[in-house]
Amino acid sequence: MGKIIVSESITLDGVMQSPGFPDEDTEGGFTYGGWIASYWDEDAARVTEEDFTNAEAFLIGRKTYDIWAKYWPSAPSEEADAATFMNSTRKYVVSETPFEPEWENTRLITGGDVVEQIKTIKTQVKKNILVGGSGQLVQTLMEAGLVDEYELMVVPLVLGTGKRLFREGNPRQELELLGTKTTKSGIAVLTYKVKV
Amino acid sequence: MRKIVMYNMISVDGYFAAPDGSLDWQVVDEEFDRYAASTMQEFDTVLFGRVTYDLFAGFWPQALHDASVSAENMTIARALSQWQKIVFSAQVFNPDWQRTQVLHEVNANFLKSLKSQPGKNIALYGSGTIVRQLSRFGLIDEYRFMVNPVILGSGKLLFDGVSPIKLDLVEERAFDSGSILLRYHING
Repeated sequence: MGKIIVSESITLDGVMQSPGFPDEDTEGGFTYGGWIASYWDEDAARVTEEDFTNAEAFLIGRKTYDIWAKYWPSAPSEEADAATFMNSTRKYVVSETPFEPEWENTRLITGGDVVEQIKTIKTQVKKNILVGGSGQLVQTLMEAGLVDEYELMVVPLVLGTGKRLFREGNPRQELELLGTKTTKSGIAVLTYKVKV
Repeated sequence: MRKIVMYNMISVDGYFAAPDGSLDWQVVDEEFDRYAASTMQEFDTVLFGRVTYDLFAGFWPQALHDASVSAENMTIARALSQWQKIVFSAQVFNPDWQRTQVLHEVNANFLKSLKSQPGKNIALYGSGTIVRQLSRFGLIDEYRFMVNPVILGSGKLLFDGVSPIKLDLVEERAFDSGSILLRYHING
């Protein structure tokens, strides 16, 4: 049985929109895109490497797929290791409308009961299933009680606006703290297990 | 220069208050009380919004005369009764709690001059509305969050609509309960 791990970089006020680049996601007139750049450090990279070591697949939404599929197949050489992992690892993409995925190792989850399909994938996978970005999909997973763990990389920055990871109206959920780390640039890495 | 130090309990999803105002999600155990009591010596003044003031005024003055409270809570009760208490309240009211001054609105110049007077640091507990206003004015020097191990699902947010604030993480401490203290200084 695979564990679904929601691993996200967020600001102190919970914003998850457009961490990597200014034009990644400008929805709602968001102008602070690319905010992770000045905080991302070796320690943070090591956390991600560890996640990759324990992961067997990605589970992402359509918008995140589009961003990643554009970036990783032709990623800069200093990111070669991550790119190899991203490209060679199975990606399950949840999309309302069917499409022809061009990125290698991509499987589409579309039509019918998405939650049931994800439950089936969980039984087929042995290691971890990583969820990154995918704001909308995370809400679906939370509502369905399918999240096993959260790994939150909290950047020491308040933005005051932007799409938040945890949106209004989710079910209340008790958590168990699994661990904390601090990176050199001040990212607080908090890992929680969802209590059943 | 005295610092204004904000302290708030928040959930993992960033809410400082549940929609119905209930506090049952906040972990308050012995370790927490020890921590809270250990911070009392840093301050001699505290700022409140009306809601948090009423909560505090309804509990701490009585605790002072309650033989059953813990040593830590007695430390907190004594400190709070001694500190200068400043309440921001749009409505006029007569506070029963000693050393309380009521101000009708948040005034940046008043707070700047308060910070420049000699004394210990100034605490700001709870009081989400006041936190938001003071954040806008750039008047908070240190932010302390006790992140409780719960996703509330909905509630009130602290930083809705503020301008970006860059911070430096100066302390991250895990408590046995699963709460985490995150302490930030304003950057620069």
